[in-house]
Amino acid sequence: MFKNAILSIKKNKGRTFLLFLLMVLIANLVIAGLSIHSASIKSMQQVRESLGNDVTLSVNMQNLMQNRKKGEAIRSAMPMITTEMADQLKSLKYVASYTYTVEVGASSESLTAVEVSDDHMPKQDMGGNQEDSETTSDFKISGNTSMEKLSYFTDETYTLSAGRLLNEQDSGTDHAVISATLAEDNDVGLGDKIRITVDEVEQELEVVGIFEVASANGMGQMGMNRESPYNTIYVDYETAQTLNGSKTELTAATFYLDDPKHVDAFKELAEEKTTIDFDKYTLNANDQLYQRNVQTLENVESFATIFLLVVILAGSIILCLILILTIRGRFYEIGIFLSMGQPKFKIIGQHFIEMICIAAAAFVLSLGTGKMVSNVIGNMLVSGTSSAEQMGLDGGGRVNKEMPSIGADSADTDSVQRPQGMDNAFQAPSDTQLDVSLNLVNITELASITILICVIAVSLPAVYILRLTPREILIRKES
Amino acid sequence: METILAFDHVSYFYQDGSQQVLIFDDASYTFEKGKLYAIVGASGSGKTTSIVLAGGLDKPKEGQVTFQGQSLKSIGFPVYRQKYVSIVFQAYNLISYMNACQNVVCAMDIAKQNPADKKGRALEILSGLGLKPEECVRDISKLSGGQQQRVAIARAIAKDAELILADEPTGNLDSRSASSIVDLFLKLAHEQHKCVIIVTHAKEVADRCDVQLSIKDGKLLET
Repeated sequence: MFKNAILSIKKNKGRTFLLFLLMVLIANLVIAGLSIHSASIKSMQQVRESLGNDVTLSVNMQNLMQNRKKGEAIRSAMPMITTEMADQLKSLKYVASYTYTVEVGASSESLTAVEVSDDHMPKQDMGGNQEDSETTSDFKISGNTSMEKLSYFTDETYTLSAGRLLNEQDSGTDHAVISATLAEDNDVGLGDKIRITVDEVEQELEVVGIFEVASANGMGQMGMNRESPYNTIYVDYETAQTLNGSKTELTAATFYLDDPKHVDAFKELAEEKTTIDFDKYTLNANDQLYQRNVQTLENVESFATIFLLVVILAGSIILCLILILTIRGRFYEIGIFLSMGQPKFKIIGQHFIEMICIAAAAFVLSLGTGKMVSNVIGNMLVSGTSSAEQMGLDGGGRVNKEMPSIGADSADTDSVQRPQGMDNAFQAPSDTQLDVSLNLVNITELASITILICVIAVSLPAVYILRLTPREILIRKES
Repeated sequence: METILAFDHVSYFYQDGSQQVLIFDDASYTFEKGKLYAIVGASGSGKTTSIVLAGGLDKPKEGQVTFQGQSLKSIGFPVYRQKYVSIVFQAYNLISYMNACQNVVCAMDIAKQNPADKKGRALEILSGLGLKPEECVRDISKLSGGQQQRVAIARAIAKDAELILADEPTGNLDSRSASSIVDLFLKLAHEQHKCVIIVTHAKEVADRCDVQLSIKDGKLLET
């Protein structure tokens, strides 16, 4: 059987080459389909993990405005977000991690703020409680349980240029991260000490990290120094609480879920399991970016699935047709083998071995060429769908996820009443690349599909011929 | 002599358009080991059909063909063709992508004949039939009709089956070669106790056989 297969392949070089070319073509398309399919699933998973899985606890401004007394100051009516409320949420199912943020305005005699305008605003607690003060707050102190999760850093609006970001291990320390512009203007480097003042309480901080503002969207509001990212000083959470004068009040609490698809379930669980009054507070899901990206990838995934099925089906049909055409010469050969007493399974087995030998050679070649084809098709698909979807996206800036979503009481954080000067629209990533590299699973899938195609391509013509008696087969040649 | 093959009330016809052409009509005959049979007759009389039925290449429409008392159906047609019968076809029916030697070895493989040196035995048989060593390893398509016929005969002999069927085995051979082929068949029948049935229209070949048969009115009759 094997010997006869090799003899047949060697003798019929033209037919062998034709089948080889066809198998290479089919294998390349199958590889493209498989790797794009895997890549789109993997990318969706990555998108899920990096975008849109955070939910922020904030004040329900709509209800606040409806319920406040006539003439009452908004800030007076605004309830505080507390650690007690946030602690209830952090322990709920679906929460993978969380960040608490405390922000407070500060001044400094040792630092000169990066001026964004000539106007100076009265010092304000960023949580909304205005204090009467004759001191100008040029700086914003932002204390977080971990800087690594802050959106400005995860989406690279800010990039670390020296040192490191603060994390849980910095809790209770005097470490700080400042902007590169502030550092340069004040000749401050890593390890240097700076002093800031909040309500006449002075605090010395050691600079352990410096960040660059990479994107113009991180510029913040013009006219207010403390709103500018250049004048934001990041400290650890406990230090910020001390400076703010409260161990229980938070500016914001953000919870990062294990999967963006759990956002609604998390909100329901929060209402069910916590004592938080959701008339006064709200959970805002920042998943617009996720939704916009995932649609692209879902489109790519479903296209890849259909593409794969079409390739396998079309490949099998084309191979069968080619084999049926070539089988005319082999029709007679089959009759001879049958007349000599060769069992039918061995006759089919010989043809199958011939196909597999050719397919194996095509498979090996396709492992190299298939990746190229995958990259071309994959990126065509993604750029085609992404550019169409980005037409309606540009709005310039992004929502500052470190602030309470003032003016928003739903997941739609593009709604009205944002703090003055803040941009509204989300900006999607400029392109979504697929990593279409081949892995062992893809290779195994390709091998299985190849074998399946060979089985179908050999079996169908064989069934047609082997139903005939040897006489019926041989007589066709003689006639 | 021991009966090896029998036609037991066999009827057979083939379809020619809308017409049925009757070849055998309740025909019965027994073939014995150790004899060389010749089936003679005009073209279209059904000589090849007798080879077809005897070789298990098709089933009779009625009746049965038996081998050593067992019907071919009960033995299994593929098994019967594999183990008990060798056929030399008029059109040679050689495998085109094998050379002469490979064709003979292939037959041994199918019949599960496992001599110590298959290739050596194949070459010996081919040489005995007058093929030169270089012709034995030549592409089949490059051999003459007569050479291909010898290869087909060699393939049948190599299988070492108890029943050998040959359809016009000397058709493409000159008289001297034809005579040597008949000598070979006689040797196989008389010395190796095989049953050899040949279909021929050549009188000189038929006259040298032990029994001559013809097909008349759908029956196999000794002439």
